[in-house]
Amino acid sequence: MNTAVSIVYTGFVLGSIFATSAVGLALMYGTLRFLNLAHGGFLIVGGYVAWLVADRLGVPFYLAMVIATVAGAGLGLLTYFSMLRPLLGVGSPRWDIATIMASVGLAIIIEAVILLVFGPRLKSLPPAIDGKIIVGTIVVQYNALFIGVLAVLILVVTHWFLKSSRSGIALRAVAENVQAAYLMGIPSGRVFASTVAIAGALATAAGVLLGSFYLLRPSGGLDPMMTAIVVVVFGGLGSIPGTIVAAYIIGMLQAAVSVFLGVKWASPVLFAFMILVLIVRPYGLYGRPEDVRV
Amino acid sequence: MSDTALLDVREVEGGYGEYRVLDGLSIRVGEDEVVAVLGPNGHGKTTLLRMISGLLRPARGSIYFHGQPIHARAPAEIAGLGISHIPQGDLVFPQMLVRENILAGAYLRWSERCERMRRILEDFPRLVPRLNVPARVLSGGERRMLALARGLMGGPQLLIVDEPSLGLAPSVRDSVYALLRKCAGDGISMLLVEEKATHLEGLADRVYVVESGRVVLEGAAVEILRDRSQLLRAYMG
Repeated sequence: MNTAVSIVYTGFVLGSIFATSAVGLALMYGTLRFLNLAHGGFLIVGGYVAWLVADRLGVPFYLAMVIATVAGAGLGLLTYFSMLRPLLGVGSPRWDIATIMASVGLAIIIEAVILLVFGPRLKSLPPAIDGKIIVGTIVVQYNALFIGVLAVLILVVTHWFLKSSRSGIALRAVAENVQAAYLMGIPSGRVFASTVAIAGALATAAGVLLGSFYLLRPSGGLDPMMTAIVVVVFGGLGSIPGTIVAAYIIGMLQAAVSVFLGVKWASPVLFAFMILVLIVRPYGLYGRPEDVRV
Repeated sequence: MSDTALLDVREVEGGYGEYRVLDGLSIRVGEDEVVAVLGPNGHGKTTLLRMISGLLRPARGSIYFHGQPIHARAPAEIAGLGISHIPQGDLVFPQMLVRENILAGAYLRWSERCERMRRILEDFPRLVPRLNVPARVLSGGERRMLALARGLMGGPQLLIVDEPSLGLAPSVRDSVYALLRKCAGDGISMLLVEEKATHLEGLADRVYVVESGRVVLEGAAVEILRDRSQLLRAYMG
């Protein structure tokens, strides 16, 4: 019984963070058909910015998170105007390859800049809340619970934005059919820029959440980015509901593997699971073949 | 029709890459007027509409709306001027709910979205029970209704509709044309493209017949639609 509760609790916290991390990636793919391989860089920038303002300047965790999120939106806008918009302007016949290569370059640049500014030594973010309670034999850290709830809150706000706001509806319309969106008077350039900014903000917010569990290092974004990619592929490339459901399933899976097989098996099982998904359900949970997108 | 037409397409040429579809085509639509463009498939009717709404740039010629040149403007800007284009195939957003599709149409008039949606749904009762289902599950007729409702949400001055009756069952086709008549009655100018003239009587004020990217016949709808042999001759070249 305790094992099951422990898996559900850990799975919930992990799933919430995975979802926050992966939703930005899914948004970007859904709207721009851009698989951002610099997503790990965005995650780690969030952690480092939060560390800088919280640890060095003594800013409270909540405010550090807001500052990191704003920085992520700024980095997203910079990425759009300096990299994606020029690539869109060129009208590359291989948009997918061009953007993947460009985002790999961006990831390397971000890592190099972080190394230059913060050095190679590991950093740790102070916890948002200290303390713990013991439920049966399970130790529940207030910080983990808080981070899980905060991630859910971020997802709820993102869901509201996408379902009910003018910009959110416009973003989803562009993601589904950019020509039809044009005919509604929706300016695609502004939507693309805001998508990348929102994705950047979500990624850095997730980076702060991750940073309160793991030590920060310049290349530390790679593993969570790979998990985010697995989540997005499993959810159905570009599908937001699919991404959120997939994140919680994978969170539970990782928690179960860690309990029954040990933490070292978490990644191999995750990628074996992704290969299985690609074979059994190539479009993921909520994905649809590209030609059905109209 | 007055000298200053609502829409004035002058001698447009162009198409897709090297393939020229329109060859010096000119048409005009006046205020409160319903104009139909007839012609066989593949002779440039859809291309003309795509050029008007900015999805395609003409290689030569010009297009004016309210006397302002629009042929070099982006599609979103043209929509903002008051032109709503219902394209062939409807292009609804399949994963979004019907309600969200309609709201997307209100992007340019967001503050009025609830009131506009309430009023428009009075004319589209078939959509009301379907508001919370994804657009991909709609029938062909419902999709056409949705595309029309969405196109009207922006409060257009000119509605351009590509083949409103294409692929629809007769009863649904009648409903679509009844809605178009209602739009005309509400004072919305319209440019309709059709392959067949069957449903245009009593709706269109003027008709252009297009063949090989050029206007080969034009005139008052009552005259052109009355003399089917004249239409047939124009179709057959």
